[in-house]
Amino acid sequence: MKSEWRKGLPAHARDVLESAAADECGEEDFGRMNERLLAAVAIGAGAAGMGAAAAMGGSIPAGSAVGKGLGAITFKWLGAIVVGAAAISAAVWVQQEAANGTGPMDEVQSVSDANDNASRRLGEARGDPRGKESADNEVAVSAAPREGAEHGAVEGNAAISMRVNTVPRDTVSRNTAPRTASP
Amino acid sequence: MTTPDTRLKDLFEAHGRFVYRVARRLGAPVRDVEDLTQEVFLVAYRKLDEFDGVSPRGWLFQITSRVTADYRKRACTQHEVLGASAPDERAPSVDGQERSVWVGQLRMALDDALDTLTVEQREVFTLHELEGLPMRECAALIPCPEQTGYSRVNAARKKIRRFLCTQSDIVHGLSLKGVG
Repeated sequence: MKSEWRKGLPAHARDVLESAAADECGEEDFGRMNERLLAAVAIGAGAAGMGAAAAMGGSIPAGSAVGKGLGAITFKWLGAIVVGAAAISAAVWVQQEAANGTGPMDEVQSVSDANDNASRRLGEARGDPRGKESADNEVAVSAAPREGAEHGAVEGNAAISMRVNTVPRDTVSRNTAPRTASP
Repeated sequence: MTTPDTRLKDLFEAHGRFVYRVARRLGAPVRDVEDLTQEVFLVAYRKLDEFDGVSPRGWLFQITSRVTADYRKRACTQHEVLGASAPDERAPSVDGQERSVWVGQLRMALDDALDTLTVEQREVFTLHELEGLPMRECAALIPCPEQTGYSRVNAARKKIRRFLCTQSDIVHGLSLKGVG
């Protein structure tokens, strides 16, 4: 059935609308879809049947779809349990090490202490009355934990001497000259 | 007594092509339309107990509409795999290659034209204009009041006409080459 509206369209537009008929499913495609549908229904019914049998205490054949499904679930949960257990044991270890005074947090603390000492000494050596605070920025750049960190930090930072944002803003030159027309 | 498998088989044989066409016209690309048709009938199989048997076509249309809507949502988040399949990949015969190209262009133009419509307009236009169903039946299938159906199909026609008139160079150029 073609509407009157379609008759009033230009020829090419009518061709476009009539091309919808080309989407008709062919016999071969239809047969293939039918087979796939019946196969999918059979597989679904089989899996449901085996699931019901398993729920009633029956055995699930190895390699079956249901067995694979259960296996996937088991491994998924097993993985989650292993990861969770690893995280908990790591947390317990850190706490134990902290209690013994040999854990990683103690190492961080010792580096921090070394930096504080180095800052204080550098400030005193310069005769800066603010002492530690004035040298903090300089010492912090060499916070790497290494042998003789206390002295190394002082000597190293005296040379590094950070000079960041020391230029007053109003001295920054700006191009305020009027633009000239480009050639 | 008919088993669910038999009922499904009967449904598919009677309405499989209708579902295929509607899924295609509601936006399923050629490469996925078979999968979507199968999905529609699998949903129908699961819900056979709830079906009263009054209007199988309307029931299947509603399932198709939902399945294609879900597909469109999924398609927004999926990455297109280039080269996985051609959009209109039915292999043409050697004799009919030019005609096949022409028909392919027409179908692409139709897809583009339908993409300009809203989902509601597209449903009514597909059923009434492309499937040729009377508006009363369309309104029952969608479902919506008959007058709303007319209103939607008129709006859809205006959009389609406007779109196709802007595409006249492409499509008309092909037909002028005499491949039609």
